[in-house]
Amino acid sequence: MNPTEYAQAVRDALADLPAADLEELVEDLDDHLAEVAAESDVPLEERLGSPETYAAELRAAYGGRPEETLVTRLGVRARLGSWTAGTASRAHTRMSRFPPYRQAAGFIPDLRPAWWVLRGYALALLLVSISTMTTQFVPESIGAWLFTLAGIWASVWIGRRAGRTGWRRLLLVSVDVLAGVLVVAGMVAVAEWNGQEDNRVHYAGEFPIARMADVGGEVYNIFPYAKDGTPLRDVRLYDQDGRPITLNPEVMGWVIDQNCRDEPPLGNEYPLPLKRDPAIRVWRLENGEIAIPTPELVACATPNPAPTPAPTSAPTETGTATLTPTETGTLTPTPTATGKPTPTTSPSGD
Amino acid sequence: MDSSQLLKGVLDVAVLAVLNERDSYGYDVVRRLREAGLEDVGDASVYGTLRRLFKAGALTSYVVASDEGPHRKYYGLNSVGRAQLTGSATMWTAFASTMNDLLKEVHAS
Repeated sequence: MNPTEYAQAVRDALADLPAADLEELVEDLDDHLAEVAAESDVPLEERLGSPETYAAELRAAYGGRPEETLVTRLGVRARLGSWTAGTASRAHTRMSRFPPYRQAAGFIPDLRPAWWVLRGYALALLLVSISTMTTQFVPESIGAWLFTLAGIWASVWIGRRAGRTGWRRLLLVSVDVLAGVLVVAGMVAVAEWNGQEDNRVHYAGEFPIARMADVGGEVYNIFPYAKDGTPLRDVRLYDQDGRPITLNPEVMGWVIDQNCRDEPPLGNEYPLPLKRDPAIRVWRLENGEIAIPTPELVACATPNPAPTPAPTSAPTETGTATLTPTETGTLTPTPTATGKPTPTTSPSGD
Repeated sequence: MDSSQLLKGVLDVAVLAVLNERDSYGYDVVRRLREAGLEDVGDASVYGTLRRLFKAGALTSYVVASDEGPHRKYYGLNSVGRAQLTGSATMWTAFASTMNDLLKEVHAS
């Protein structure tokens, strides 16, 4: 093996170094080896060992302080990166004064393999989801499982190979960021899904009972009150054009109770006398059938219809009727009373 | 004890010391170290150390054309290299004296 061949073999053995690093290291290896070879006729392999051994020794001697070589070799972007790293390491040094931080910082490297597994899982499931056009948080088939396990294996394998530099490191950081976003997005999606599970009421009937809770704001009856808190009855509501304002209590499972009155009540007379729609008696829930309790929102007691309408309408009229006579009645006697003394004084004055 | 293990830790100082005497090219440094008594020193170790010290900014280098052989890249100390040598030499002296004290009994017996 002549010096050139030997040098090439050493280069090949160091091929995994970044190209710029390798060039720096071996740039005058040929001249150096030629010098060694010129001194003696003994073949280079015998004097220096195999090119692989030589390369290993070279690597060990050269790689003593990797951080120095990194800073001088790389460009502006890398310098910026190392500045960021420097700031981070200074902050790390300051924070290291606090024991809890030291413990946490010491613990984090142990978690790296866990991240490799999670990263592989997330990225593999992303690919599975894309290829199957479904959203899978857990592999849903044998094939998906095998693919996911392969993804985890690949991720761990890459993670265990330390010391990447240059574009490979950049690529890996991008992949890590993507995986991180995926994991967070997946967690948010699963959390939302859990939330829905809690709120959902299963039903099989024709009327969704869940809507009762969902549309709690929907108005199906109106209870008017006077300013002093007196509940008002039979209040008729109209809109600006004189049209009756009506509601649809039927939608909510209520019907107007006609038992209260002889004639059908007006749809805009509030509060509506409602009762449960007898057509909907049973609500099927997930765990079997339950009968809906039918609380009467507006109690329609039998004595009520007769007295209540009569006093409310009648007393107002009789009240005004009685008021006018009493006022006139009290006024009229007064002149007669004052008139009376006048005659009595005049006779006494006589 | 394998002397190559000991050498690993002090090869930087040894190379700097040789270059402090006078500027040299790679194989000349190897030869001079061996002549000085470090017979186990590896060619690749010296070459790698020179490249690393140069990269770290401790050495200057210049190429000298040679009529009979290949061009030779000479290395010499700059101020950084000299400072490093001084610091390392102090450290080595202290270390060596500590070790000598520790091993005094062994020598005496």
